[in-house]
Amino acid sequence: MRTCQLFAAAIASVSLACSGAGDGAELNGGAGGLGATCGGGDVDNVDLRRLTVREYRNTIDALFPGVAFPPFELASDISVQGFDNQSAGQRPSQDVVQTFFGAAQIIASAAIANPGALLGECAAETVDCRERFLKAFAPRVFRRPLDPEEASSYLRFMEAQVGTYGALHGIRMAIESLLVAPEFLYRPEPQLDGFAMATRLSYALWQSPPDTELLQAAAEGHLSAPVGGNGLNQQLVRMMRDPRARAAIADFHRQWLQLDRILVAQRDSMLFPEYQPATPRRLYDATRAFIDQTYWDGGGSLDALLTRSVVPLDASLAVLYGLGGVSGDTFVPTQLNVSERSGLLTHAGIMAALSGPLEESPVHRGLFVLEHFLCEGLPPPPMVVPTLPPRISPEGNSSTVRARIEKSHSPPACQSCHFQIDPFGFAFGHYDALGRYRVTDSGFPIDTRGVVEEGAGSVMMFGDFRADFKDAIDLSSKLAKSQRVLSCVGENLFRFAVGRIASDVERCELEKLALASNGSTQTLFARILSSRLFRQGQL
Amino acid sequence: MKASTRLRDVPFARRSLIRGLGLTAASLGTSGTRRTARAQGDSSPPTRLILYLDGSHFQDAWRPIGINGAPMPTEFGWDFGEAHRPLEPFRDYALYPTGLAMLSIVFPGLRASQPGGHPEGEMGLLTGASEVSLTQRLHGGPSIDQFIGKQINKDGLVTRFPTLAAAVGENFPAQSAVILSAGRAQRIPSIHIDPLDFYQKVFADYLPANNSGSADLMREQQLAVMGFARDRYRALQTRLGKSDAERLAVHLDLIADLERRLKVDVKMAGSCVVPSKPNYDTCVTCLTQDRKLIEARHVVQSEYNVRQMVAALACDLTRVAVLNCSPYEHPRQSSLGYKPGDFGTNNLHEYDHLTATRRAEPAFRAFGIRMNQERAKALANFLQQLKDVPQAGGGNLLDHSVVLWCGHIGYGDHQSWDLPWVLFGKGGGAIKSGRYLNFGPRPDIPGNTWGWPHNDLLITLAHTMGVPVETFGEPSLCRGPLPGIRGG
Repeated sequence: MRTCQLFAAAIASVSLACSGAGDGAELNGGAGGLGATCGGGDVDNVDLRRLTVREYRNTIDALFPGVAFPPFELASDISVQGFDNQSAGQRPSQDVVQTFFGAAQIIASAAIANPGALLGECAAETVDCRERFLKAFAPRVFRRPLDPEEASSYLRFMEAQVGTYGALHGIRMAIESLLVAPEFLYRPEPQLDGFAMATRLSYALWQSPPDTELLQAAAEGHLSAPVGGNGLNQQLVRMMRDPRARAAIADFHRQWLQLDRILVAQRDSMLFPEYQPATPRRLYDATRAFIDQTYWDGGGSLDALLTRSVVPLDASLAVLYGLGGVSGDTFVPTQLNVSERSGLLTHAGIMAALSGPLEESPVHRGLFVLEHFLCEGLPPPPMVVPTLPPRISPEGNSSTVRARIEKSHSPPACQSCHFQIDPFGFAFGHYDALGRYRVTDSGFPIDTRGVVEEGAGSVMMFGDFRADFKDAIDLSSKLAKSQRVLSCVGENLFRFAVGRIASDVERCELEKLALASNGSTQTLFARILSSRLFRQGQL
Repeated sequence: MKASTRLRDVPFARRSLIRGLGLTAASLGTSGTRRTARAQGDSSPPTRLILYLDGSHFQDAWRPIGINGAPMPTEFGWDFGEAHRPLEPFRDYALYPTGLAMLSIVFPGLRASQPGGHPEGEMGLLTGASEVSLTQRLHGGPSIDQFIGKQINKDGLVTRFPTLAAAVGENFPAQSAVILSAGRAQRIPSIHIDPLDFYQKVFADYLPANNSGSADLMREQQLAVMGFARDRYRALQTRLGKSDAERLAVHLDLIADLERRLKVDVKMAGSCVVPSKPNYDTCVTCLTQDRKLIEARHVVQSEYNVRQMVAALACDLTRVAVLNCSPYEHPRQSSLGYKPGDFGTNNLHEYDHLTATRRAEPAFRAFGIRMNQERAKALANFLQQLKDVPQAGGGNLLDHSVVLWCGHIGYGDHQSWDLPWVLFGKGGGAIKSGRYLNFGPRPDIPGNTWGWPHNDLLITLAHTMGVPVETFGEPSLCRGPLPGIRGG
């Protein structure tokens, strides 16, 4: 319940910010009273988007509730810069088109296997029955009413097939044809009316098609411009309460934070016998549960995400965290040692994911912070990537990973990038390749201080973030307070919702929305969904 | 979990392939009136192109060596280098065109101090294009397999699949497939990783030629749905903006392509043997920390995929194939004696990088050569399978194929000159094999000290496959087929 209240409050604050000011208010600072504008130029057009595999399956489930389908295959989505729903990765290919036809055939055959469930009381052999079915079913597939040409075209096709192959085959083929139609597989917006807006909203927030209520709101004009009105906001609040939103938000975090890396992290079994086959999954589940609770019970607070030190743990993970008092394999909220851990970035799962099979990787850890929390784009690695010397040299001398990296990356060519990557990575020196806390590295004290210097002694700024920190806890605390980080989350939310990278103008507007979001990623998402950025092109 | 290594094939000669489009079983039938895969009256077997992609090799151990005390190899007086010695049984089929370089990835003007590049090398290997960028997902053009597959089917589909690609010892689809490209900024073509998936798409739907009419009926219905779908895509196109309409146009073309493939009725040759369904219940993407299990899975996957690719070529389901060996996870790294930590490396990828600086160390070199020999053995196994397939009118499948064994790096620092590219097969008589040729820097390119642009090798492949292009990839680097390769 608290979730709903918080989200409703977030929506309300959006409404207040926009009330009376209309569309231009946000662009000119109305959303946060910021004053500054984002310069000339318009926001980019929306590119044609196709249903992702997840969206397709959710949509089929919504169209045929209760129908059990045989397994069907779809071509996997291409991830573009971390997200699998980007228009840039959705250019059709042979296997995409082929598997869509194959899936349509399987789905339609399974659906028609029980004509009663599909058609109701009427008999498939009667024209009236078939027409009624098509009139009711096709708009659900198209997520909008069909225009007369479309409706008659599908009807003619169905009836022609009925004439040739019989009633049930004709209906099956009509279903197949709808399931391979561009209006189903893609999200074309020849005009961005209320129905198109409903589709945008439902796939952004639910990864599923609009339900009856949302389509009804569209039909009654409640979703049409000017947005910011009560109709849209009411729907947003309602949709956020739905379990589908919870699943979609979880998927956003999975992709933004590359959580799957936890699952595929491999460790040398001789060096890390504690890393059992079940460990990656437990680490993954714990971090997913933490994010879920932080987002929904903590109002999406960025501060909580990055500093909260209560984590769901089971007995096996508690051992990894050096804690006692937890038994069994059920996750229980566990208070971590606040002098050792603070928030997501210090989770054992994240630290393990950003490590190699033999030891931790400050480079991957540093890159992770730069790319995912500060939205810093870095060039690809160079042609020659020297391998880090081993922890124990051939002469038998051991050294810390920091010492080896500093030596290895000392050439100016390496420094051009690593001067900013490595300090962030060094902050996590207390966590080994399993994410366990340690006091020393190879017997030496650990230096976790990180400063990114540009020029003589001046500390580099990433927006409002000053790159000078004592350790991972200090770094997390500073990141949590940074507007730059919240804006970066906003950029990722935008990409998740809109399906492409934000333009410069859009980034500027996202910064303003972030500033007005009181440190809440939940509020920020609501602001994005009700902003012009999301509604662009609307009539 | 268990991984069966038992591969049992079922001879299925004289059957007719009626589907293989990933649609549901029995949806398609056969028809005596449909076009067969090969032109009527043409009795010579078609030429097949196979790109066998592999990792780096020790240059001073793979290059051919002189014989009878000669310090240097000559065109006919040569022997395999130490790393390639397992290929000795295929000497008559081998052709070493050395001295080639991937100049296209540093074009124009040889802008880097030396050719090389990561990851452009991977993207330029088969495209020969100068405009490549992994971060922008931009291949400069199609890879040669996609190009040739499209060209030989452009006047109507002659094989069910214009191209087929499968992985060997690999479980990262995006990484392996980045080498292939359907076009300049197009989606990367799919690559079969899971043998079961490969089987389902290519072989699962064989039915006897005299199967009941229900399959014909299903195909007819499928074509009706496709035809209507095309009408709907056209109708929507007119209502959308330019870029959206273009995307639908691509989709529309692919539907038309699917329809054409559905109409192709491939008559099986006598040597076509349909492989049995892989007994392979170890998911290639399943997570495990057990290195031995991972390797066992890779070995089984590799054997199945290679076997199925040979069958697809033998059955003329495709004439252009790609087998992509994992550059990072050698299928048998444990049995080779490697474990993480050796040579100060976490994995064989890091080992490959270190070849740039540590190749002279005896233990390091000995392991590298052993690994190269394992790769050569795997290739020899594949070549033998091709050789075991007889062809109508004489010869075997290797006689009628051209296999390019290639990778995108020389030593591990992504050096892209003097690459270990070797041709095998006689290309139906088009290739004069059993020779060593040294090309070296082509003198008409200012500042070039690195080698002969590999674009001309790609052009050679196109000509061998009956696609007589003048350029491929970066046009200013192209002169035509490599001199002396073809003939006979």
